[in-house]
Amino acid sequence: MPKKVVIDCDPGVDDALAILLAIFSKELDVLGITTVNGNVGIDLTTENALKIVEKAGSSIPVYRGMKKPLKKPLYSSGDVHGQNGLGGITVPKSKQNVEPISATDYLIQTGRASEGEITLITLGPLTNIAVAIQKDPEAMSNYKEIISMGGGVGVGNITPVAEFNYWVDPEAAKIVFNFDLPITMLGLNATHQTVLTPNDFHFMRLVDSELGEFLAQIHTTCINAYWEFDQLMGCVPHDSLAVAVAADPSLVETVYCNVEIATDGLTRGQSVADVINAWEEKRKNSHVGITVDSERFRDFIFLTLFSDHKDEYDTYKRFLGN
Amino acid sequence: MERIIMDVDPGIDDSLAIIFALFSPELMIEGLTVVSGNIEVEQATINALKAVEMSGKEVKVYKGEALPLEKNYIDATDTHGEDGIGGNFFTKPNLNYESKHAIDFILSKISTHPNEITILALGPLTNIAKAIQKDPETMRKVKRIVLMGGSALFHGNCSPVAEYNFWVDPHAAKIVFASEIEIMMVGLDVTHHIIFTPHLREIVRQLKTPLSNYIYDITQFYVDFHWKQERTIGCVINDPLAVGVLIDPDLVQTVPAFVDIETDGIAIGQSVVDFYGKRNHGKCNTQVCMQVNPKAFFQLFLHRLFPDFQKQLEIGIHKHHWAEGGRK
Repeated sequence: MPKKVVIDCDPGVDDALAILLAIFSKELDVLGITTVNGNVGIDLTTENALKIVEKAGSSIPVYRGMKKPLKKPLYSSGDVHGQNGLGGITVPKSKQNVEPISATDYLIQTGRASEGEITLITLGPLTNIAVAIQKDPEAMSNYKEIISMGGGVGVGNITPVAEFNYWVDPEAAKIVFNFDLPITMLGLNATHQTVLTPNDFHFMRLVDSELGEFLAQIHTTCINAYWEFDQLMGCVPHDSLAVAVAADPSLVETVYCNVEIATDGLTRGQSVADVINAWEEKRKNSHVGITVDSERFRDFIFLTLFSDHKDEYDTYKRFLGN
Repeated sequence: MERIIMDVDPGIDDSLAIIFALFSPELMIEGLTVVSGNIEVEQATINALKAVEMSGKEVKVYKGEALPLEKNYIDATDTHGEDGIGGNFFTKPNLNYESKHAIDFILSKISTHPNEITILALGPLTNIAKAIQKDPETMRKVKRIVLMGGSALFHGNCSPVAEYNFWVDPHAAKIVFASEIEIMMVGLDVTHHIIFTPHLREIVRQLKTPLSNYIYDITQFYVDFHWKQERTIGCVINDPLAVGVLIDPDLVQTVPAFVDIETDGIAIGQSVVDFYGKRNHGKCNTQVCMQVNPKAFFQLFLHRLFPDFQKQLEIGIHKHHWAEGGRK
């Protein structure tokens, strides 16, 4: 039986890829998608989520979520994801409409009706999850687990020590990490072990002139941004790792430890992950991703997206020397 | 020859660093100033005098600050032993410290040798910060500060993110990094590769001199602690690397960065390292050591301490298993 999941996201280029993977993956059954302000504003993340669902040939319901962080003012990362959150690429408006109830109400309803079998995958700031926890902790504790892309161990992107998702809404992240639900945290230290290169995007184009071309196009701004800022050639598929780990937990080795979110000062938004067990007295609340099996993660991405092109993928891998 | 004021909190690895520095002709040690850190300043001063005595060299020792600027003081006797040097309780050295306070010594030395003095800071930065507060004009004439402390991409050793020296007195560290004095940071990113292993300790023990016995004895507790705490076979000797870097800058590779110190919350004492000042309009205040050659370090370190035993040391070092020293 496929694993039931709800995806909370802020598409966002890497969210778009992650959503496609989740919908196409045989291991996952996506019940619903909730959107949140993050990479771009809530109108765009919601519109983009609907577009991606349509692109996947699916009709999974999309629920609109919180339009700003709990306390911090709005911030948009338009330079990485393009002004529209999809690399500036024009994608026709979806025929599907957003659902009438809010993301937080949907999260609560789904939690209430579940029996601990549903996994929550979070790809954006944790505002929706935090609000739902505050409104109805009992319903939210019915989820099986949270698999969250965010944070990092010893590395940041928006500041030297803070990762974008948790930095956008540190108060929300703090609420979620203090909540008694198992969390798998996939931070920058884990996601940066895998890069989708220009070779990869060109391969996608060659094997699938529709979906492959689309993915190559939306990642253009992302490639520019990584090159300009990090002298890194390619894109890091951050969000896809959370989806891949939901489908196959063996893709990452984790350390079970305390994670606390810094909400003040210079280090605001940092996930302080106690991987060295310096704070023995604190509650262990997270499985923190440390080592990713990048080759198998890449296999998951390519074979889930282009399942009809396994032979070409094998040839491509031989070309890469794997 | 570089004029150096060494600010220390001995401390096992500080004691090694003091002897290493005094045995190095490239460095002119103008004086040792002592601060509370690994152990409180009274005992730390006695330990500094002991290290000087063991070296057989002459250098004056000045007692400094007992307490951090704002934070409650927490020593590291769990790591360094009850007496700060491995619980050996040696007989008191026959030397005395000077009556002048460490901060006054630092300021007067810099006034007489403007732009010539390098401060080698191996403990919490309380003395240095107080000197800056007392006379910022004079402290602008420090040539540079080479310090052991902080962590950029590696984890901490007092909290998940904070290194001991900065964590003990984060407010002092913040003042020093904001001072516009040129800084080289020798942090855990590189020092955690400087492991004084049982193999290397045994080489030292086999030399059977008073100094080798002393070094073997003070590091025993430290080795045991490292196994209990970190599952490392051998002890990390942080401070001597900062001395090594002064003698031979090629031991490490550095990256320029803007460094600031967290003084509040759960990450208190963390060094926030913004490489190339990317988030600070390209402005940097520190050279951060990110890669090290541990074998070259130990060659330098052990040969300086035991110049009469070239051949034995060479064999011992050659046979040692050497790992890679860090990432870019």
